[in-house]
Amino acid sequence: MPEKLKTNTPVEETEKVTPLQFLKKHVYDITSYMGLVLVAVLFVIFNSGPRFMFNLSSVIQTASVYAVIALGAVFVYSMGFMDVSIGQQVGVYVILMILIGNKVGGVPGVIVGFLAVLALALICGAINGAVAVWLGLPSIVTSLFLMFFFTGAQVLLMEGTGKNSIELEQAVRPEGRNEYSLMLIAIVIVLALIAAYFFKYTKLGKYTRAIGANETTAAQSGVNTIKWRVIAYMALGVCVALGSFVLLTRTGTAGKGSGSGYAMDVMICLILGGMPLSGGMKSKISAALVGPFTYVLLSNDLTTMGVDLNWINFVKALIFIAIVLLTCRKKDGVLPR
Amino acid sequence: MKNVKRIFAIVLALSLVLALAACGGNNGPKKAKIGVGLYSDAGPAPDSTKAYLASLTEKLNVEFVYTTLTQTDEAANISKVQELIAANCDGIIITMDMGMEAILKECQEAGVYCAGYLCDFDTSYNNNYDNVFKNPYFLGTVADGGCGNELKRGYDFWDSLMEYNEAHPDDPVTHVSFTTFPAWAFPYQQEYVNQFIEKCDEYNKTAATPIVYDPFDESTDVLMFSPVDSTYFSKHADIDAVMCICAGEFVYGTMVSAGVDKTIKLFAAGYTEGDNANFGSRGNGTYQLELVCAPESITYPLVLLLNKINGVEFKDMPAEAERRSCTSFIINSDADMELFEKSIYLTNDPANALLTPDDVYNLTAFGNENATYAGLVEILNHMNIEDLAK
Amino acid sequence: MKILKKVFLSLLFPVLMFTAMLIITASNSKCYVNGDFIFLKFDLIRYVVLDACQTICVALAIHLQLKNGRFDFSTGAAMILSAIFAGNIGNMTGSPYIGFLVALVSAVVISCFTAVVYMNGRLPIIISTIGVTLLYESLTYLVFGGTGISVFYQDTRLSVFGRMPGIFVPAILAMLVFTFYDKMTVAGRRGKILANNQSAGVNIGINEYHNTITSYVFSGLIIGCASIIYLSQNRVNPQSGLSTSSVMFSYIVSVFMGRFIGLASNDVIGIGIAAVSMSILDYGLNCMNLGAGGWQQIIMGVFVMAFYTMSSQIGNIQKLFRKLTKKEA
Repeated sequence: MPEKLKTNTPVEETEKVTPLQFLKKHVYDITSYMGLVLVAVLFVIFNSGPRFMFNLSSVIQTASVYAVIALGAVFVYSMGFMDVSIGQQVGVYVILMILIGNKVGGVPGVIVGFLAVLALALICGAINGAVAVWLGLPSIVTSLFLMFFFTGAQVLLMEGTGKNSIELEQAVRPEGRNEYSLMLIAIVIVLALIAAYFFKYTKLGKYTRAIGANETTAAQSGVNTIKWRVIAYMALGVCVALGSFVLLTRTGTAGKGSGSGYAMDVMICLILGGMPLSGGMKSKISAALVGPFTYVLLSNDLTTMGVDLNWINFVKALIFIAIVLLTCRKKDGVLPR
Repeated sequence: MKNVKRIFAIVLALSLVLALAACGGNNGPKKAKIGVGLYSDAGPAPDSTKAYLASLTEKLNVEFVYTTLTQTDEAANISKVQELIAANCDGIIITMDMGMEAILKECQEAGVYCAGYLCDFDTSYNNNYDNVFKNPYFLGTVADGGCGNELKRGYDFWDSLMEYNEAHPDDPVTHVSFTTFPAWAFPYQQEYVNQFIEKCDEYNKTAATPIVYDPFDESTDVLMFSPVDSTYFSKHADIDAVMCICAGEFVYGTMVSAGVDKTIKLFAAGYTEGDNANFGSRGNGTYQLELVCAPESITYPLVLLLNKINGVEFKDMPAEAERRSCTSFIINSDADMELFEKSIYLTNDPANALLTPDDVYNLTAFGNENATYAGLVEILNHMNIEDLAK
Repeated sequence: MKILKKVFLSLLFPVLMFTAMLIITASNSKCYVNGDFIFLKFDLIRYVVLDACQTICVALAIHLQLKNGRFDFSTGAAMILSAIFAGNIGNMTGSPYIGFLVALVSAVVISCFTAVVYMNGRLPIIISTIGVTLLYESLTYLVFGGTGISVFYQDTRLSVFGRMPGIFVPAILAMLVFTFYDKMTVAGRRGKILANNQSAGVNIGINEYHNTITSYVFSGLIIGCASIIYLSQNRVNPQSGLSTSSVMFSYIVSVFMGRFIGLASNDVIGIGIAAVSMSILDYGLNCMNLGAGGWQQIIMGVFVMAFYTMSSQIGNIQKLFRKLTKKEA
C-alpha cells in the first residue's frame, strides 16, 4: 500500500466527528436501516391479529431466498458489475436438482443434485468472470449470454419432462412451519457471517471493492483483477446454488417459470439495502440483508394495508425512487453514468 | 308506577337487543373476505368476474381482494397466496394448478379454505389426488368446458363447422388445420382434436364433398403460449379454417400479418376484447366460433367457501372435493354474438348476469336450508347461450 | 472502389446468414410441405420486413442512449406505456394516424421524464432507469382501466403501421431521426465527446443537462416509432416486475451486431442489416419449428457473445488479416 495512504488513515480516524457530520457521512446507511425499521413497524401494526406468526414466517420464506443470493451478489456488485442471468440460473438449478434427486433417490439424491448444481454454478461463475476479461467483453455481455443459454436450457429441460411442473420426491424441509422458518434463519445467519468475514476481512472483499472503485488503479497496485473477478463471480455462483436449494425447500417443485425475475428482484433488494450499483468502497454486505427484508416486508405491508392491487406497484415504484434519491444521489461533478 | 315503567322499559330494551342478536345470528351471513387469484390481470373474463363478484358483496356480506397467478412459477403462486392470507382472507379461489400441494399446506396452516375456478386441476387430479382432492381445505373446482369423462369440446367444434357449412353452401370450409396449447398445460386439448377427427372421418365416409384435415403436427400446431409462427400458413397451405382449440388471439394476429384474415376462418376457444368486430358476418368475418365460459360459474367455489366460512354444510356434500364441468357459451352465429354482447361478460353490468345476488344467496346452505350441492352443480349446466336469451 | 468494398462488407453478413439458413433448411425435412420448400416463399420477405422494422426501431432507441454512454433500462417500459396511450386514443378516434401521433408525443414526454429524473435526481443511469421502469410499468395498470390494449392490432383499419407498406413509415422515420440526431445536431456530436470523456466534455463547456434532454427527445421519437409498430402487431398487456427489461435484452443483440457490421458503413445501416439478418435467422428457425423453443434462445445467446467478441477484438482481427495478406503477397 502506498505510504501516503498508510499515514492518512490514522489521521482520519482521530479526527473528531460531530453528530451532524456522522449523520451526513452515514445518511445512506441510516436511510436504508430506517426504511427497514419503518416497514417492520408497519408489519407489526397491520399484522397484530392471530396470523402474525404465519405472516412473519411467510416473509422469512420469501426474503431468505433473496438474501442468500444477494449475499453472493454483493461481491459482484461491489466490483460495479451485475449478473442478469441469476433468475434463469436459479430456474435451471432447481429443475436439475429435482431431476437428479429423483433419479438417484432419497437424501443422497438431493446431495448429489446439489453438488452437481454447485459445480455448474462455479463453472458459470468462471465464465462470467474470466471469459469476459479474456475476450475483452463487458461483464453484462457474458451474463446476457448465460441468460439466453439458461432460458433455453430451462425450456428444453421442462419440455423433456413433458410436464408443467416437476416435484422432488424426497422431503427437504421440516414439517412444522416454525421449524422451517428457524432453519431458513439459521441458513441466512450462517451464510451472512461467512460472507461478512470474506467481505470485510479477506482479500476477496477488499480487492472486489478496490476493483469497483477503480479497476486500473487496483491492477496497478498489484491486484490480480482477473483472478479476483473470477473468485467473486464464483462466490455468487455458490450463493445462487444455495439460493436455488432454499427455493426448492419452499416449493418442492419446479416449472418453466421458476426463478423468473430473480435477477431484477435481487438488484432492487440490493439498491434498497443501500448498495451502490457502481460498486467501490461504499459497498456493504448489510445491503444483502436489509434490502431483501425491506423489499418483502414492503410488499406484505401494502397488501395487509389493503392497498389496491393495481396501485401496489405504483406505490412500490414511488418508494423505490424516493429511497434511491435519498441514498444514491450524487451531489456534485458530472452526471453519474 | 315509576318502577314498573322502568322495569317495563328494561325488559323491552333487553328483548329488542336479544331479538336483534337472534336476527343477526340466524339470518345474516358472517362477514367474510375472499381472495381471488386470477390467471390474468386484464381482459373480458377477469373484468366480468370482478364485476359479477362485486354485485354479490352486499347480499353475501363478503369482500373480495384480487391477485394474479402464473402458469409456470410455483414460488410466485405461493407468495401470492401467502399475501392473500396476510390480507386476512378467509377463503381463496385460484385459477392455477401450480404448486398446489405447497399452497394447500399454507392454507391449512392459516385455516383458510381454497377452491378452484376456470381450472380442471388436472395435474393435481392425476398425480397428487390424495394431497389435494382429499385435503379438507380444498373444496373443489369448476372447469371451463369439460373435464374427466365430460369432454366434448371437439364435438362442439365439429358441430359449429357443420353449421357454418350449412349456412354457407357456396363457400364451405373443406380443409382445416389445428392449433392447441401444449399437453403439459392443457392435457385435454389433444383429445378435442381427436374428437373432431373422429367426427370428420365418420362424415367423410358418406359426404359428397369431404372435409380434409391436416394431420396434427406437434412441432407446428402446439403453441407455447406465444402467437403461431409466421410459417404456419405455409406449412398448412390451402386451408380454409383453423380449428384453434386454444385461444384465438394466438392465431389471429399472425393471420392479419400474413394477410389471410379474410380468406381463412377461425374457430376458436376463448374470447379476446375486440373479437366481436370480426365475428360472423362482421368486419373481415374471420371468427366463426368462440367458446366462452360464463363468469357466473365462479358461484360454485364461492358458495362452497362461504358455506365453510359460515360453518354450514350441504346435506349431500360429497366427502371428497370434486371437479365439475361448466357448460360453455357456444357462439357460432351473428344471433349468438348479439346475445353474448348483452351478457355480463362484455357489458360488465351485473344486471345482465345469469344469477342475481338473491339467486346466489339461495344456493348457499346458510341462506336456504333446502339448498343442496346437487342444486349448485345443476346451476353449472345452465350457463349456455340459450340461457342468455331467457 | 471504396464504396464497393463497403457495400460488399456490409452485405456479407446477411448474405452469409441467408445462405447458411438456406442450406440448413434445405436439408431439413420439416421445411418441405407437399414437396414445397417453404423457406423460399413470399412469407420470408413479409416476415423479414415486419420483424426487422420493429427491431430497427427498438435497437436504434437503445443504441442512441448507449452511444451517449447510458444503459437505459426503461426503453421497453416507455414503449409499452406509450403504446397503451396510442392504442387507446387511436382506437377511440378510429384513426391510426392519430395513434401514431400520440405514440410519438407520449414517448417523447415519457423519455423526457426519464431524463428529468436522471438529471435532477443525479442518480446512476441504471438506478434511475430501473426506478422509472417500475413507475411506467405500474402506470400500465392504472391508465385506461389497466387493461392494456388488444383491439388495435385486430382492427385492420387501425393496424396499418404493423403491416406492409405502412410499416416502412415508422421504420424509415426512426432511421432518419437517428441519423439527424447523430450527424446533424450539435447535441449528437457533443454526445460523442461526453461518451468518450465526460469530464473533459463538461470542462470544455458542454452543457450536459441540455445534451441529455435533447438526446432523450430524439430517443423518445424513435421509441414512438417502435410503439406504433408493436401496437399494430401485438396485444399490449400491462406489465410488472421489470418484465419490460426483456425488451432491452432481446433487442440488444441487434445493437451489438449492428455496431460491428456498421464498422464498414455506419450505425444505422449496421443495425438495419443486423435486424434483417436476425429476422432471416428467426424465419429459418421457424421453418424448422425451432422458433419458439429453447434452441432459439441458446442461438441468440451465442450470437450476442460472438458479435460482441468480434467487435471488441476487431483490432486483433484486422491485424490477423493484414498478416495473412502480407504472407500471401
